[in-house]
Amino acid sequence: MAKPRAILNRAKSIGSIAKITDTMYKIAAAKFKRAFDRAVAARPYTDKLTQLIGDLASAAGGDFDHPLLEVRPTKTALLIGISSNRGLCGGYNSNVANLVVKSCEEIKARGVDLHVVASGKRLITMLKHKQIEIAHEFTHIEDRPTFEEVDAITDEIMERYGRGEIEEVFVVYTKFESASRQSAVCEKVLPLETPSAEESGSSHNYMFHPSAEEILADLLPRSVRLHVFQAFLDAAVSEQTARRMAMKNATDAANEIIKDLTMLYNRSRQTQITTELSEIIGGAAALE
Amino acid sequence: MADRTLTVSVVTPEGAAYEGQALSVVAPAFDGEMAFYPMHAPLVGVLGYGELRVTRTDNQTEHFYLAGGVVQVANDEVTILAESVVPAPDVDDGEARKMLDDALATQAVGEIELDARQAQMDDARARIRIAERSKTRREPTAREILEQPVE
Repeated sequence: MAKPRAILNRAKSIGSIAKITDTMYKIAAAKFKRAFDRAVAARPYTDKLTQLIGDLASAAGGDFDHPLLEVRPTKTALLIGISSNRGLCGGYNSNVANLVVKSCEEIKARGVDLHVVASGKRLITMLKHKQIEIAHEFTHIEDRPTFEEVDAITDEIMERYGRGEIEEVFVVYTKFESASRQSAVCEKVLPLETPSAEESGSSHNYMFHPSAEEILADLLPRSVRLHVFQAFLDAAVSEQTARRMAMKNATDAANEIIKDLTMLYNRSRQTQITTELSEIIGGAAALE
Repeated sequence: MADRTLTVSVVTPEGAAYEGQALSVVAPAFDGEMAFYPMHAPLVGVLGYGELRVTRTDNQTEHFYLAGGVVQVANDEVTILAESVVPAPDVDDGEARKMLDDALATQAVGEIELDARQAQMDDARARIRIAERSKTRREPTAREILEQPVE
């Protein structure tokens, strides 16, 4: 049996680890709240935009062209991977990295050139380790992505798309479905799906200024920007949730170990005392 | 008519910039300003760079800088979708001047670049205009009110 002192020291050091993980849990919980609020704040905009595009598509009679809708034969694709700069958040980063690798293989299997854009230090290291070439990397987007920061990235991608350098754009990120469910997903950003011209609930006979087609041409790029922004927001919320869960589990496990170690310490202390006592009694008996 | 008001919501991807009742809204359409009063016909329009003015029910007017977007009007509800909305007093005209100089200094080739340059110039000019207007705008002093010619 181990020395009681050594066991006590171990229990102490695990205690201080538990303190750290508990603090990280609390920070992640607070950050989660903020990130969640931001993701929710974007929702009215998304809903309105989707509704408006539907309205306009039905007004335009589903008969319009736009470069962003055009499906061209794909020679080069671009994939944006979004993860975090920091670790200690369970499987969050590796899930994204694995999906990026899988998607890369699938895209390359079609005989298509691929550029990978990675956001987040963790993803960058993991992809380098898996020997995937990264065309661009970003580490400046933290847990509060602003529309402007994300827009700068989207702008460049849309420009390259407009020049015909790339024909398809994907984004890999962790979708926030609920507080207990987040999963890494790969979504197609460009070309856009042609908005369905189905009859949406509104029966207003809108005036259009200018024409419905031109408004649609203004809205479609916005919906692309929004899609990417939403991906970054979701990734930020998912990161904090993942960290919150990971740190909660770590704290619980640490407390469990401390309990076991304390028991072990008490037992070994008792054994030691018993041994010493029996030695003394044995010694005394030998003297008689 | 007098008791009718508009329900205004100005939403951006980062949240709502303004929400509430209003007497009127003046929005910068892509080709000039557009005003909306209660009972406006349903309309969807593209907005450009410029000033958004919302006159609240207490007759106070709020000024914003708006960088393009879309306005939708129906049933006395005005919804503005914009990517960036800044309250007029927060517009930084120094930065805008730099932006304008940058735009003027760039050599644009081709339609796409020319459009982008024009957009940057329009944006910068609108920002400067709003910042300047917002600086000179203030409540009239008591003396000014007293000295106003009586009609």
